[in-house]
Amino acid sequence: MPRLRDSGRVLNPSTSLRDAGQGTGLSVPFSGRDLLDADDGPQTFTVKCHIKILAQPTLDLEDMIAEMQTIFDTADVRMEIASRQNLVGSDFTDLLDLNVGQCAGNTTTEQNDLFDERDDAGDDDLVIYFVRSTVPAFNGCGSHPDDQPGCVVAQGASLWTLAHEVGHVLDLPHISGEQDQNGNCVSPNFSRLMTGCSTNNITSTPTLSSGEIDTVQGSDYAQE
Amino acid sequence: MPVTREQVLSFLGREEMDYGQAAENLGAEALPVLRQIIDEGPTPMAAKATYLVGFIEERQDAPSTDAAEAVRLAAESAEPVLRVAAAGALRHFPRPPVDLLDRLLQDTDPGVRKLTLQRLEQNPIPEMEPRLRRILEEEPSPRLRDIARRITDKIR
Repeated sequence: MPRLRDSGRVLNPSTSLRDAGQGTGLSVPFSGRDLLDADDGPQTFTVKCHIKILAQPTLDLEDMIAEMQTIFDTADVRMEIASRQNLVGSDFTDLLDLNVGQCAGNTTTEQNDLFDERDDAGDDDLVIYFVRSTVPAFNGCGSHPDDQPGCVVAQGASLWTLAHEVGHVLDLPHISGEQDQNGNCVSPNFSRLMTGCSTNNITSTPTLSSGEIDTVQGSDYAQE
Repeated sequence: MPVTREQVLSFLGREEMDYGQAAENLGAEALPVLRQIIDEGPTPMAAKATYLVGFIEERQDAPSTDAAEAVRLAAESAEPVLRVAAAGALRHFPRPPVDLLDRLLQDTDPGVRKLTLQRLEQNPIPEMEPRLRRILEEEPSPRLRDIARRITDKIR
């Protein structure tokens, strides 16, 4: 079944799809991708993301981005990739393996140094840094300095780590009820993006609950 | 009761695992499984396993040969990320093997050297002074030379 994000042309769109397309200035035939990527697309909210790469992820970055966009589409949020940049050179060699401490909200000096690299990102834009590894090793880390929203994704991340960490930046905590009091994953829910028991075990596009959708839409970084 | 591979993987797979909690829950009994994961991979899991060895060692009353050997395995890996993890794990060893530190300080990867130097800056080891002096002369990165200088100053 074709997905709305596929690039094939929609020759005979339904009335609602035609209205949505024409509302964004597209003329028929247009592709689902054109519609989703249009500046004034059908989603009510937009989160602007800037990608900065110190180390290419092992999995295909485009697949990670596409999964993130698919997941947040369900929250009526358009994830816009506003810029991409490779961060290379001796200034960044020291940050390839980024000390993130416990990744529990506070940030380290190394995180602060890296998150200073925002270039033209707006105050409410997210900057996503792809590093070789974190110290200690996490798939990613959603902690960021105040007023510098963003996250870090490690080279060995899963297909859904990017969306998961962006979820943290958009105020989503891990879902409850998966772990016992000792932190053992006794009831993991791998159908949810914000599982705290590993996105490695997710097998198909994970979901957001209605409460999580409300939280994302109410985030400071979801611009209406 | 022995710790199973499934129990260990249940912690290692998480996006942001709580290493302290995993070390408390699994303890030194997990070391054979962690060593196996370091040996067999995949690399992201092996890197987490290596760090976890460090957190477990930090909680032991006496140095453990099993922990040191597990980290040595990571230090000898062809994967830079695993060698970085080995250097990172040694930050949690109260008494890291000096020969292992020496090996990591000579690593071709600057990230490995950086973390090893940071370990020594945290807690200098006087036996490492000859190697540090060579780093002061030969290390291409000014930032790493600065760390080496601070360590030698502390040792004096």
